[in-house]
Amino acid sequence: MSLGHGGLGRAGLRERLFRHRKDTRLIFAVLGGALLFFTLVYYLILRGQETPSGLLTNSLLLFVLRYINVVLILALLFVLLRDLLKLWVERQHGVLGSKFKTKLVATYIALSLLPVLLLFAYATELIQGSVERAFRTPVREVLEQGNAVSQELTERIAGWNQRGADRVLQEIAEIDLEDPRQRPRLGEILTRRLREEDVDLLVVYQETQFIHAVLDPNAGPVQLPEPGSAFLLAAIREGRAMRVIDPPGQEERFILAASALRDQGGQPAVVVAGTVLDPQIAGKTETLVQAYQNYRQFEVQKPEIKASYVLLILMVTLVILLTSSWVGLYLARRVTVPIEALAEGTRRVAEGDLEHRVDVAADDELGVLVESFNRMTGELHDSRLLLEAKNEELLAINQRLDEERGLISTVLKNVAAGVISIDHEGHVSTCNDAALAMLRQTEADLLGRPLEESWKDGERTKLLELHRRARRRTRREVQLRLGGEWKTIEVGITPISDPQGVLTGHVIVLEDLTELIQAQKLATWNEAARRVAHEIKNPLTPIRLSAERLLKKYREGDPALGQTLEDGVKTIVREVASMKQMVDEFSRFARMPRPQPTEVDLEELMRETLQLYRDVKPGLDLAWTVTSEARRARFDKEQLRGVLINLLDNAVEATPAPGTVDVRAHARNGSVVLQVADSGPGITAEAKEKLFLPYYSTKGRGSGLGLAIVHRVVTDHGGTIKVEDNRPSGTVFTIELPQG
Amino acid sequence: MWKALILLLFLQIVPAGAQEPRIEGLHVTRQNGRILVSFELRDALDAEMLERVQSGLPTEVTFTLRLERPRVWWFDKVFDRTTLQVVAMYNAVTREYLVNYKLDGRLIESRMVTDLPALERALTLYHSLPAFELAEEIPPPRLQLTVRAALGSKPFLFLFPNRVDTGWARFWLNQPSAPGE
Repeated sequence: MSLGHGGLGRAGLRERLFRHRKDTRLIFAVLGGALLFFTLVYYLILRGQETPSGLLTNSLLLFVLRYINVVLILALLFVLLRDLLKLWVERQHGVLGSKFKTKLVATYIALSLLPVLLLFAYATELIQGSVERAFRTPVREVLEQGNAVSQELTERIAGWNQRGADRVLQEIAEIDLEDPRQRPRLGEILTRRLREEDVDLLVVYQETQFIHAVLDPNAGPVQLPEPGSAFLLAAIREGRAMRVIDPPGQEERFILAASALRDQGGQPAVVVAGTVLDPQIAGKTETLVQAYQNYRQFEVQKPEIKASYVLLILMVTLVILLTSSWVGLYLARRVTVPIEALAEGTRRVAEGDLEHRVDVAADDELGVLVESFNRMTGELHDSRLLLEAKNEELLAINQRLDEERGLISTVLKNVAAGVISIDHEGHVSTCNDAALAMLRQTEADLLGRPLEESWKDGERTKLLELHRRARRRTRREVQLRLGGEWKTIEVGITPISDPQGVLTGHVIVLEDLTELIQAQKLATWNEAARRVAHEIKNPLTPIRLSAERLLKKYREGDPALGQTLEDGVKTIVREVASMKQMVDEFSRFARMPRPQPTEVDLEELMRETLQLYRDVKPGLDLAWTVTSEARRARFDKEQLRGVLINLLDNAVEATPAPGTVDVRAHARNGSVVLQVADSGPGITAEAKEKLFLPYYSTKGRGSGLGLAIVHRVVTDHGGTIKVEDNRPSGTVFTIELPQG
Repeated sequence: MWKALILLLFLQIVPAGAQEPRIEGLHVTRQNGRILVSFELRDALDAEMLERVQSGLPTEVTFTLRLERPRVWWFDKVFDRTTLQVVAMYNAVTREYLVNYKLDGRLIESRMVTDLPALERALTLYHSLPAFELAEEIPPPRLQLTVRAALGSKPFLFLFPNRVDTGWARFWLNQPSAPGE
């Protein structure tokens, strides 16, 4: 159990591993994705280090969008080109299903490409139009005007301060700024001028060195703004300068204007007049300026903004295209892969590989088709195995048949009997040498020719007639005069039928009995001569003894000569009569007439005959049966009666009481089968061989011609007779006679 | 369709008419083991860039300076590298341009200018920039200083970022007697 589980587990694991062999694609995809991701991160880090923070966000967005789009375009191109190339190659090679797959993929791509591209074009135009419309609105004009107002305000205040600084500079021109004693006067001038010029602060520098400053306490700020040396140097260089200071952490803004004296030798004096802008006004003007600046930034970045939107739409478009293309290809593969596998399977099966199975996972109608194909292939495989087994079996049988045929042919060639096979049309199929020799014919006379042609001469016509009449197995002796010689040939004709019982031809077996019959005749005559001599010698002895006794009595002059003479003569007469009877029987056997068949009621004949033996032997049970089919037949009635009497004589004599003698007759294949069975001791095998010879007797008395006459009558009727052992004891004589 | 595409590609690849930004007047002096580099960036501040500066967006020019030994059959061998980032930002409220100079990420100077000519000078003229330290009295043979300015990037076919920069300007610190290595 555990072994079985283990085997199954290993097979399942192997199958799962085999099924996931294509997961290498997934591994490559993951590796590629990870590589792209880390490349992106690394590049972003580098760009982030190089790029100012203000630029980072916008550039990063654009970069990410561009990166994603490039990756998507590459992926789309890869997928499309790869699959289109595969399709093209498959179509070039005429792979089954490639045309269908091409149509399917083209349909999917066209169905997704056209609307998506139209949508992309429309969306792009819409975005660009929207951005352009946004820049065409009065916002720009408003912002420009607002910025101009703000700038004009600053310019005016700066101009006001500039004029104040100029007047202060003229007034303090005669004051030696390096003299500390003149500082109070400088302070008075500046304080007065602060009120007259309506500025918020006045500061005097000697070049970049601070000298004195006055501030309007109502202006708000408590800290003097630092104008910066660059501003002062610019004023010295240009004669006047202007600067707006927006100190960090303060709401106020300072608008400064500086005037400097030049060409005086020594260090020039610089007067800075400033105005503290009200925080509310400063805030509003800053808002206006910033809004305008934002607008300008937006305008500068307009191409990038448009590009961002377009790239975003492009990304979505590409994602849709990639998805739809992939889905289309996937669906096409789902349909065509089983078809290709089936086509390949069909090709392999057509090439004879019936062990091939289509291994495609599908749960739809194609799955049913694949399953049916595999089942069909499996059944074909099983059938082929069965056929191969049967074929091997047939080959073995054929080989055996060939061997047997060869053996039979050899046997037929060498057998003494002649064998001729006739087909159902009466043409000779085969014949052996013995048949040709017996019939004094050649193969050309017989083989392949109809019997009517081969045996149309006068003598062989007898054989032809026998063949015509042979409805069943027939055995006859035929006398033929061939080549000037008489031949006795036993002809056996056996009809051959196929398993359905249709006659397919005949086999004719010829046995030349000429020499055998001659030998049998010689032997029979020898036996007959011996018997006759024996039978004649038996009465001769008493005759000789009687004659010798008479001669002796005569010579002795015996007075009882007369009596002796009478006795001797009686003995001689009796023995001569016996000899005469024997000679008469022999003469009758020799002169037995040919049978004269008449319509015979076999039942009546048997009843009459058996009537003779009733009460002959007490305790012997005589029985007889005749079937209705066998009742009527054409025989020589008297000869048949003699046959029955002969057989019944033997049976009754051989059967001790109590015993049975049973006579029965039935019809079989156009013949009447007559059986006489007894329950006697039976006959030895040696006796059975000689039983039908003339003058053979197991009883030690009688002429020994009874069964020879029976055999003669039966053969004269065209029938056969045989003797067998009865069961459980006794003997059965079976006579088969043609019924008609 | 194809003609339009080819024209678009041509327009993307070939800039129209204007002079290419370049570095000129590259000169190197040595002072107390320091290499002081002077050069001028020409034709870099176009209208588009000025518009960008005046809109208040930070505008950056990045200079890459390298001490290297050129090789004919392989990449040049770089001994040292310095990056100078110059970022200009405009304050519309104060109407001043702030220009920051960072050498290898460290702020080395911050300059405020009030007008465009001053801004252009601040972005393009560099005098005695302390780029490298070189202890040897006599520089190694075939040593040169190269400078390149990166002015940002423009997209190619709206997708592929195309870096806008000058070519490498070269100055031999130790002129080779024969070219190549």
